[in-house]
Amino acid sequence: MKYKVLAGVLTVIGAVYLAWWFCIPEPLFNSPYSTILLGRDGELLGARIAADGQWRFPAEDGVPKRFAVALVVFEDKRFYEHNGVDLAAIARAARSNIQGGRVVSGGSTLTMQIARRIRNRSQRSLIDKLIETAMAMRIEQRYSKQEILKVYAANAPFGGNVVGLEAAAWRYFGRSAHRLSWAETCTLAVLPNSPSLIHPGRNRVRLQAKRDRLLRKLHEQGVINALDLEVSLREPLPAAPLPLPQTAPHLLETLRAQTPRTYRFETTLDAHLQTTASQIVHDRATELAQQDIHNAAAIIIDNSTFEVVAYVGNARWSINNDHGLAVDIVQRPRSTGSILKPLLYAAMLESGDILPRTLIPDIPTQYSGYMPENYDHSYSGAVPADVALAQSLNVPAVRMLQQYGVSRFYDLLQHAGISTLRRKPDEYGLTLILGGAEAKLWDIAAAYANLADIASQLHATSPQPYRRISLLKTSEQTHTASPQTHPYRHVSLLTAPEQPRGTAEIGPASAWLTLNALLEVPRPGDEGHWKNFASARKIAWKTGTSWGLRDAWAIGTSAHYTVGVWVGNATGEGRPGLTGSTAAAPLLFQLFNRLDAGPWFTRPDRQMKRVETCRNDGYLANGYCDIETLWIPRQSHFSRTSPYNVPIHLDATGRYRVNDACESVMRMKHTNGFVLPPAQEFYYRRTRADYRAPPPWRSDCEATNSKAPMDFLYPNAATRVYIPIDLAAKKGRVVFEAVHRDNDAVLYWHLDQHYVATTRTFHSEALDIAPGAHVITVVDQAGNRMSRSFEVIGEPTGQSSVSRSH
Amino acid sequence: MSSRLKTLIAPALLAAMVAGCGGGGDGGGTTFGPGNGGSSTNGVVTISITDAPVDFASHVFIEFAGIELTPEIGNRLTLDINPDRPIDLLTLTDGATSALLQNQSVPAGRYTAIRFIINAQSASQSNSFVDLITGERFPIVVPTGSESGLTVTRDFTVSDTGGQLTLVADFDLRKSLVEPTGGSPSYSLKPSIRLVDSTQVGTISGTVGSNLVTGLCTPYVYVFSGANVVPDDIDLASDVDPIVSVPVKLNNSSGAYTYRASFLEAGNYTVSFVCLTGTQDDQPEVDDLLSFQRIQQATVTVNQTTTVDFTS
Repeated sequence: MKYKVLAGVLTVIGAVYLAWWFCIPEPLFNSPYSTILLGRDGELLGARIAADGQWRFPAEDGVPKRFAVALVVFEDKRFYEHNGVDLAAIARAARSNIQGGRVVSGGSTLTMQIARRIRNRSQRSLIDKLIETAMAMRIEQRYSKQEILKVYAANAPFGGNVVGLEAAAWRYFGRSAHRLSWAETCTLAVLPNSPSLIHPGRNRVRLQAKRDRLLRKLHEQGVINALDLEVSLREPLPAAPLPLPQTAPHLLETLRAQTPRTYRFETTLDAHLQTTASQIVHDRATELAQQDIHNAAAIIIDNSTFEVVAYVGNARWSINNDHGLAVDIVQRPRSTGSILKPLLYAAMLESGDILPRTLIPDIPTQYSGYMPENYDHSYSGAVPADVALAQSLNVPAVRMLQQYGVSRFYDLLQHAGISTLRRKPDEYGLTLILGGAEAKLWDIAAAYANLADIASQLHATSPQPYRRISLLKTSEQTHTASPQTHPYRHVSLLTAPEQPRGTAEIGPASAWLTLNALLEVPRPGDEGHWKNFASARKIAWKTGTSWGLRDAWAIGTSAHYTVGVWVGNATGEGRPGLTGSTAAAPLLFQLFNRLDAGPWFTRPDRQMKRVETCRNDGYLANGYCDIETLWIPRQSHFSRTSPYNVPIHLDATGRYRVNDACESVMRMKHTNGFVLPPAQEFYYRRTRADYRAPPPWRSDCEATNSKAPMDFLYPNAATRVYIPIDLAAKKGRVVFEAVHRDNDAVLYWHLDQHYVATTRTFHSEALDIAPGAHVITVVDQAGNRMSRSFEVIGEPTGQSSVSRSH
Repeated sequence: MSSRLKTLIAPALLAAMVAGCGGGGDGGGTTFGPGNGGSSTNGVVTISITDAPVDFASHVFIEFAGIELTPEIGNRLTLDINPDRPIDLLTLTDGATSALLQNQSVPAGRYTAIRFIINAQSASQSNSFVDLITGERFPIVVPTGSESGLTVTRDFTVSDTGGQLTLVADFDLRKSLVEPTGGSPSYSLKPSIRLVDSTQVGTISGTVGSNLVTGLCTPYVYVFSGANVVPDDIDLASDVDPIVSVPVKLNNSSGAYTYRASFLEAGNYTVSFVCLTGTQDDQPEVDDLLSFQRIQQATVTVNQTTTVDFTS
């Protein structure tokens, strides 16, 4: 029996103890937080109200010292001594309540106030008080004093829908709670007990009286000196709540969407630069809106840390998404236009496919039906690779990509962090270099930052992996999250998605040469005269414009920063004037003008060697040209000597060209000549005033010249021709094109031995041809002839093989 | 629509849709080419030549007029070099090359031979010649005439999967250039051409101790394919012939004797040093008895330079 009683008593004690043990929730508060975005020095850049409509900021790691002192002095003098219940305070409260005949003091400790807020009951019966006391003791048993203060500060009401110290500090004073004065701190310390005092009106007088009383107490206790007290007493109370900053609204939305349960984003953004950049983008977009161009985005990367220091997701914020203004364009894949060309140039320098100034053909070109054109629809015949890059010529770029290989370049892009290549390489084909793929401003700017980074690796001994830019401070930099604060999660998408990435296909020398080639991109407006000013900053930059004038890009790098700009319409509508150089470039330079210039990249001499090249074609010197010494990557395997600087056979007088059919090699003289293939020469001589044609043929040699002074532009050798079907489902014609070294030449066209046409000046002829094998032959008035075999693919139609069309 | 047609049209449509534009006020586009045609199964080839030098001439000009490719299946493909390209082979030393065709689009597939068409039909009709260091000039003739040119029989494959095939033909002049004999007015060019894929080769280079280069002899390094080969001279016979022979040159600034043998396919080689005396010029026509003074073994790996030094 005794045992039963004992067991019963023990069971009851155990049950009570268990009930006590579990009387507090874990965590203490489970209210939704506001999401906040912080700059690299903790500045508030933006916030979104919590799901329950409260401004409740996720707690910081520590309660500001001033607030802790003021709060304890004001609310709970023996906070650090008691275990949740302050018997002396209760006794004193009971005495004053009895004396006053009503409840004038609760004698509650801070911990008991927390317990009351957890229960969230308005009734204040004795039972309630007892429960709160039990809970307070349990809280004290479970948490440290510092943690309890933090929970209190994070969940205390501060009037209206403002909850927690941090939100209150930003709403009423526009600063973090850690940066408040004594007067401001005391204002907030007295508020949780009577939050309605913050409202305008008579309350303000009572609020000020409370604040001042607390300030004086602090002075009495020696916390602040007389001067501080005097100054503090003169500080005004806060006016109406301040609007919270909105300096990176699109970024905040992007982060929220990616990690919805993270409430506190500590970024690497420079708050001042972010504000400036947002303003510049906004102002520029306002101008562009007159042209019906409504969106713009920008990103600034610190080249040394690879941290994003400014991020402008759109021209401005629009909650209604008018003109797509709520879209974070930095993270949207858009057609790349020409913006990827520098990576190809760099990769080909590295692989030894080209030297910096190697001539690239710039003539009508087509590959498998794809016919790229330059923006001005003209051709220069042949152009140095660095000039082709600076002038963003499309035909040379496509020819370079064809040489380098689409798959190889595709791999490079993926390694360099272009994350939106969703198709296979052969589905992009050669369009990859001209905007066939879509990429994010984020990724492209990172790739340019990598060029700058690689160019700075003066002592690298082996290829390094490409680096990723980051925007969120890493978990090491962020304070550890305690149970009472927000759940911290690694935000993967904006830090480093660990995809497989190879070592860089680009080395320091190639990157340095590429950046130098990009210095020559003609700058917009007054910036165009930059070279005339000693103080002008060096910026390697490039524009891009997508087909249909839908996307305008400008991305550049100084030694310190990489800046990326996109301008266009989020809806994808093209607009006249929406080009990289007219719409995006001015914005790029406005942004650069706000950044430190810094010195230019040092030439990585240890990674380079000097070679003698022909000045006029950029190939290795072969003894038949003017020499220009160039620095090239040390490991370049480029071995080709000049193909265009050749000895020209002359007769004994040295005035006429000859060949073996009309002159013995024993009597020939030789001179150096610069001779391009006919198609290249045709365009080259039109644009180059310094072009000197070789001496004329001796009359008896002209007809025996073994090579026709002309060439086909189409078809290429051994081409299979697919007849186009036009929109009316009618079979199209094949257009043949040829060029002649002589502008006045007359060409006679023959298809399969039958005369079909005569052309003058412009040698282009559209023919209707049946499927099967054919030979096209062209003869000029001097009797030179050239032929080309080709095959037309398609269903036999049974009609005659040729019909002339006009 | 057949799947084949789809694969042909899809890239073309994509090309048309995304036709790119350059920077700087760029607003162009793309059009379908004349004829909207083309082959979907083309690959890209670059064909270059290189050479190991000879010491008796100051210039050796060969004028190339074209290249003919023989596919395993189908008709031969003639690729014009326009204009004709005279190349001084003596400028192509130490790994320098000259491209006869660059980024030429050709049907993808397997090929069995390359023919170099050279303007050197006869002594009276030739644009190719050799200028001797004595100041004399001789025409160069390809004995079998322009019909056959210089043919290299070697299989190679042009892929249509992107990237290009870069072939290098090594005109080893010491082997291929034959002195006039029997009152002939011309040098002749024999087909002794080594064809390699330049992305699949490495280099052997090194120095030779000055004590090995004595008197008036002319130092050479002969490279034989395979390990532990017993070296022999250049004689076009069916016995062992060096794959490459390169002169050892005195570097005037450093005073060192150096050599460099490029475009060697990966594998094992026997590398030997020989110093030819006045009477030993190791003509290809003759089986000279040479004494190889030093013999070493070397392994070549792709894109690497293997160092083989001949010291005392």
